Amino acid sequence: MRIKRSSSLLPEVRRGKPVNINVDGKPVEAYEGETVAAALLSAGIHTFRLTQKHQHLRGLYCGMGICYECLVTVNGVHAVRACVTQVAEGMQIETCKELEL
Amino acid sequence: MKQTFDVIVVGAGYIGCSAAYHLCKAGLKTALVEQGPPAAGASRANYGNIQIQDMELEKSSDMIQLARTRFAHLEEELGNKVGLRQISGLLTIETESQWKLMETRRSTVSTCGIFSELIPAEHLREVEPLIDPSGLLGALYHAHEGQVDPFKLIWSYLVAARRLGLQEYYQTPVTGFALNSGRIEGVQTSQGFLSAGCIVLCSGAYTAQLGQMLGCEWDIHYILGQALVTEPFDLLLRSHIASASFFEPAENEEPGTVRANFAISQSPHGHLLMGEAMYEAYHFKRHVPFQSLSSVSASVTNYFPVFSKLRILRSWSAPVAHTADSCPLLGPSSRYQGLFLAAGFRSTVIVTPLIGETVAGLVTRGKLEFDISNFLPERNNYAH
Repeated sequence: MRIKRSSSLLPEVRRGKPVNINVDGKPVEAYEGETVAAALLSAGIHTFRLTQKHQHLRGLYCGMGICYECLVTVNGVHAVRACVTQVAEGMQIETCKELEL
Repeated sequence: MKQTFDVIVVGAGYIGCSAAYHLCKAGLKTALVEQGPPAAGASRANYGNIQIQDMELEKSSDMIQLARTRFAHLEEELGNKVGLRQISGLLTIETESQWKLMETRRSTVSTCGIFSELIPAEHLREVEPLIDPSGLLGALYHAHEGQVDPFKLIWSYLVAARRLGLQEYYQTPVTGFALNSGRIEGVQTSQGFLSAGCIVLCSGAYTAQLGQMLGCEWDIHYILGQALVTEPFDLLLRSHIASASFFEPAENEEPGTVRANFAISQSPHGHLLMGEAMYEAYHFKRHVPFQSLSSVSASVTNYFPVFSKLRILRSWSAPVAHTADSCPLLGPSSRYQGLFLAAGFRSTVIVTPLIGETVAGLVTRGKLEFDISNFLPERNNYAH
């Protein structure tokens, strides 16, 4: 869900240029300057990965690069922190992807 | 604040927590004093391996053999799972001289009844399927080693000791010792004076600093050990793998030199622990030098190209105690009555349960199950 300007009394919402990204094969709305985590949450995707041992759901937690809970696969690179990675044109993001050694 | 105890244990690492538990179990009123939180030094920065491959062979074999027997009932005794599992140990051999060294080692450990075998490179994959044996001559293989979760083990000791009345003082550095005509009477801490007739120092790399307060110069130094931790994956690695170069006599290196001695293990939670670039240091800094990242990961992917896809999540560095003759400082100090040491162990996890018992035996003047005369703190006239 994204913030919309619902009244002329509110300030204008300013965003960067639209960027084309794909999440698990589907196009998702994203703007320049946003993090991967912001784009995923805006698209209603809350589960970023599953834990290795018990397959429990994990998503954004600390939001500042410390806790390593929000790991996703970006352009085939496993375990990228969604909260500190900015979106880029043509980015292919995969959630809940198991590591293949 | 004045509090009186039978015995005060300084240091809440593997040895200190085990000692505290066994002292409480022996019915003594025990306090545990620690400058940081529990398991803050080398006890938080290690692989948790119950290993015999690291042992000093001449004087420690009785102790290690006895120590191994203590793991069978450990979880039962502590009433807690400590992540105990069996893994094997592999020492990879790159050169002819290392092969000779490992051959000698194999025959020595077999005389103490520990089975190991030399495996030529072409059969290495039978014991460790993921290894790339090109560039290796072979490896020395111990089938029976093990692993625990360091934090679960230390926590289990603390919980069990607490049930028996242990008093804990964390974030409480020792600032001095109270002495009276050659007897220990207590410790001065940041939280006040704690009185006890017996003090046990289980302070690992920090033991020398405490020794200075007592005017003792024990032969205990430290090196900084580091490791990198990757994201978790399925438990695929069967052994703890280290390079035989660990056993080669160290050349005269300047303190501060990074040595990428290859050593890897998979933690019970699936993380690959890879290290350990060790260097001797005069400081207690806990940073990981940037050279370690490339040198350690290069040495790992060299033998395990399959791990090149793994991403490193974090790293650690901690001062690890060591002594010139690789034997621990264990036993009563000859200088002060009531002062005991248990520090400087080469392979700590394997001796943790046994040394706890030994410390309790020393303090209560009970019978010890092995001879500690080679480990006495003031052996070789190190004390002045």
